[in-house]
Amino acid sequence: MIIQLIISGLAIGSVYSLVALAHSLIWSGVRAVNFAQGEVFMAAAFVALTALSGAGRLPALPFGAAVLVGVVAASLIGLVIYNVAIRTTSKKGFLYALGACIGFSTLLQSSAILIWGSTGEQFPAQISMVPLRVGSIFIAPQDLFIMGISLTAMIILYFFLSKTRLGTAMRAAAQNREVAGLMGISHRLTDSLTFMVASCLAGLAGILLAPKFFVTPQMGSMISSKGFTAAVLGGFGSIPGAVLGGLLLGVLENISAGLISSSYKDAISFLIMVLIIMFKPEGLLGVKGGRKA
Amino acid sequence: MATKKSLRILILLAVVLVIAAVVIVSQMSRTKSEIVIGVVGARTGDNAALGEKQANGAKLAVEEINANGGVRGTELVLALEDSQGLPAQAVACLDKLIYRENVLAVIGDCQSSPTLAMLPVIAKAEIPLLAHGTSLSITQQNNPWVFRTRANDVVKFSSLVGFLVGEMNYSKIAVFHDSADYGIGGADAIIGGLAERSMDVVANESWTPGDKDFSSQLINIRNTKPDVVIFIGPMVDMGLAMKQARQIGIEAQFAGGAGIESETTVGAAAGAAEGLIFAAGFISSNPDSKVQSFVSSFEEHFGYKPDDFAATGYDSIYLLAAAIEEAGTDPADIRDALANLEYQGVEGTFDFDSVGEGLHTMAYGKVANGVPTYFDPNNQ
Amino acid sequence: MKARHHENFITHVLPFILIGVIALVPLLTRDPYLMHILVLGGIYVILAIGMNIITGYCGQINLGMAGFFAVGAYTSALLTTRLSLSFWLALPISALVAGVAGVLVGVPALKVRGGVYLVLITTSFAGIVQVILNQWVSLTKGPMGIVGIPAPAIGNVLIYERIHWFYLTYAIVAVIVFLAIRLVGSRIGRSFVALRESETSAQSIGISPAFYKVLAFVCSAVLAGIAGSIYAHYMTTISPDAFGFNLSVLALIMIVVGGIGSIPGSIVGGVALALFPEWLRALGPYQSVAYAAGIILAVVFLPKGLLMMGVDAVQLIRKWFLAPDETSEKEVS
Repeated sequence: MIIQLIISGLAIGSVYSLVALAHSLIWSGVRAVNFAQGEVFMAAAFVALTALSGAGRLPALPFGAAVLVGVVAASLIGLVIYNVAIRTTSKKGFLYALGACIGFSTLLQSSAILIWGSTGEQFPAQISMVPLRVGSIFIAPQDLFIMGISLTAMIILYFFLSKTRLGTAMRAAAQNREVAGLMGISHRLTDSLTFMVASCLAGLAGILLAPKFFVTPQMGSMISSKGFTAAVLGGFGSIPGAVLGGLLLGVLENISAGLISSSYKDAISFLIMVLIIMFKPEGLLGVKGGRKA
Repeated sequence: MATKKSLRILILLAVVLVIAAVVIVSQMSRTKSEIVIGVVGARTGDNAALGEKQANGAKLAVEEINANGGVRGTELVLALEDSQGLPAQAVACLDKLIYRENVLAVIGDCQSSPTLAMLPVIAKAEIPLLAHGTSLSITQQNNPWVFRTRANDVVKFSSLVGFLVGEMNYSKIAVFHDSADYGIGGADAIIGGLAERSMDVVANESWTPGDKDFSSQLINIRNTKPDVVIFIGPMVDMGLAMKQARQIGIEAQFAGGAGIESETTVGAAAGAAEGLIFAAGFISSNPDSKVQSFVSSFEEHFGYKPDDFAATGYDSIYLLAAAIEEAGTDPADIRDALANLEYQGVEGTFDFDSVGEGLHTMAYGKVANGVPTYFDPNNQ
Repeated sequence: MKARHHENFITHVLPFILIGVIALVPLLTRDPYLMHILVLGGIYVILAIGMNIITGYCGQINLGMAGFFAVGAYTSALLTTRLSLSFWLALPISALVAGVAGVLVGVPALKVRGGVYLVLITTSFAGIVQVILNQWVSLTKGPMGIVGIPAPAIGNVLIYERIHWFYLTYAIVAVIVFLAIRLVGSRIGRSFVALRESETSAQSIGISPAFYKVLAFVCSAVLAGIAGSIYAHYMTTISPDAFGFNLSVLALIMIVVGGIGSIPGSIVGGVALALFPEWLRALGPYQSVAYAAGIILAVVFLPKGLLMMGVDAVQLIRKWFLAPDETSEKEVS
């Protein structure tokens, strides 16, 4: 039974990992947190769904094109959030960015209710949901697919940030604005780009996860906070940390719910998190004594 | 002295602002020539889906009534407010409806805790409230102005248990519920209903509303090998839970109360809801002509089939219309008329008892081909 | 010289002017709707002051105010419904219990550096509180909540009418504002600010960061607890779902919009955030979108908060309408 708990924990953990990756990417590149990440995720799912089923005079698009439309929408929203909420408040402090982002999350959710209604829709499943059975362990192919996507995304991002010029420029700009500026790196460019890439990632996650979750305007909020937690747990700013944090959070939640109590599952997860932050604040894979958050 | 001058200007500015604020907020009230009914529910936030269905049901009813000449020759008007499912906001909505919109009566809130917060206000303002929350405590506050137009949790779930155990002969029942008042109230009713038969649940697990992953709890349930798993909670959550239950290898019969057969839940369950048994007042395939015309009308207007929440909104308006037609526009008279009314709605027969409960029995249905159908155990 | 007078005025006199102006509203109208909004506003003001102490003055971001508020509300509700204590006894006890909760959050918070981690710890705390409130049914009745919380009594008079609640609430607000001004101006308050500006410098002049940071948490918790207690008795029924993350966010928005690190700003922020959504009700289904847009605009374009915007507006008016010699005198400051 423990193995089933762990496997299922890894499955939901991969979901958290994808969102955590977006958070960590933004932190590595821009030293900011997008508290409206979950809503970007949700918006992409809705846009893709609308593209898939056609709206008004617009024809229905094939799956690949619909995904593209959704991801582009996500990156545009991310860009707006960056320009309105993050860039303008960067000199005023964390509180303002936080407030503005939360404003955006309400704005996006309420707008989604106005546009698509609150009832929600099922996103057509692309991968089978009929579970595979290995002994007494059940796992759905959909979940395996999501785990695969998170790992792939992690690998791609890791290489992008550490091996490519653009990625390195982004990291440099995050660590030391002035020097990077002197070297000709426009931090506005790298920041915008970072935000767009992270939003694309969140958008992609939203679309891939939509069949698993049922698309509603509220689908983003729970995922966003778990993704944020996972990112901090794994070490804010660390790409492999985000994935590890997500998987760990999923497994921890499941084990505590399965073995201790399902009613107090959330409280136990919070508590574990608080303990980890207190005793290893840089997270599991973070660098000790790193940059002040 | 400069400070005195700035003090004066400041006071002037503050007073101007306050007066402006007061004037804006104390707008001219509506004229009394219309019959206005208030509708309180969550239109944004986590429970917006409930409020949307409630509002749509009510809107349809108003449209139909007005097309037939209105009430006492006057048009019915709805005033909708968003409570976001929060008690303090629900009170603000109620205040606005009573003191600005001059409503004769209010329907809502869809959830129990905002409804409870509204009770003292309606008692003081002496306006009838047709409550949609299902927690038992709503009718236990000695408040003569509240009338519940949905079956409460106890009626719903103890009927379900009676049906599952008595008619369908299931014996190993697991309950999986959310940690909000609906889930806990429902679970209590089930455990109580089983206790009356000297039985107990084989598993009792819970989730936090809004949760997306139920694997750990479902694994616990799976281990007890139940015949039936009863789900109680928000629509999307129940759907996802059913889907994941099948994915984790649970083969038991699924069951639940009104809400579980809605398009939202069945959609979220993506096939796992097939064959589910539910207890509800309103069943969309009820052959009764009133129900059928409601269903087709609703679907035509809004593009999806109505569910229990929509039916409650619809019936509540018709109930009020009947009461007003009979007793006039004085809220106290309306209250009395409601107390004595017997009305056949799409949710069943309403007959308000001394504490304000309107529905006392349930019908049973089964989801077949994704659609809620009437369930007659002798024919299945 | 002028600047100090100006600042003194804003810190010491303005808050009472604001409260005074609000207290005059019932002379214009006793409309119950407005009274409800203003009572809520008063509760928000207390919450905002608490938020400002920990986050505004002391610089420790606290997104768990809903947790302290809930502790205060439930303690007060339980003491009066189960033990039949009077409100006047329940209120200070709730404040105390909330203060203890403040220590429980403040001490672990010492171990983390940085806004992001503080956000996580404080929201976790509020989350744990909500779960406990929901699950510990034998104590709190879980999600059914507590109903029938009794009204406070002054002598033989039960505080039941909205207008009485209005005066009671703002009387408590005035007392709290007075105490807060004293706190902020005292050595403690200056230590808070010193810690916000630079922890190492503060330490070098003998200010113990641990002590003052925890103290700031306790102060904010106590205030949130008082606000919670008033809320419970005013609403007469409470349940865990009223104490979610949205409330903590609201507290943050209040101080950002009203004025960070400012007592009069807290008053403006608290009342504004009770009034603003009600103004928008006229927009029907667009209420929520407009509200969110308004918050974003306020946060982005009014970095000093509404209060300072008002003060600046007054300065501007003075410049335009007053004699030149006044103006030049002002230039000096």
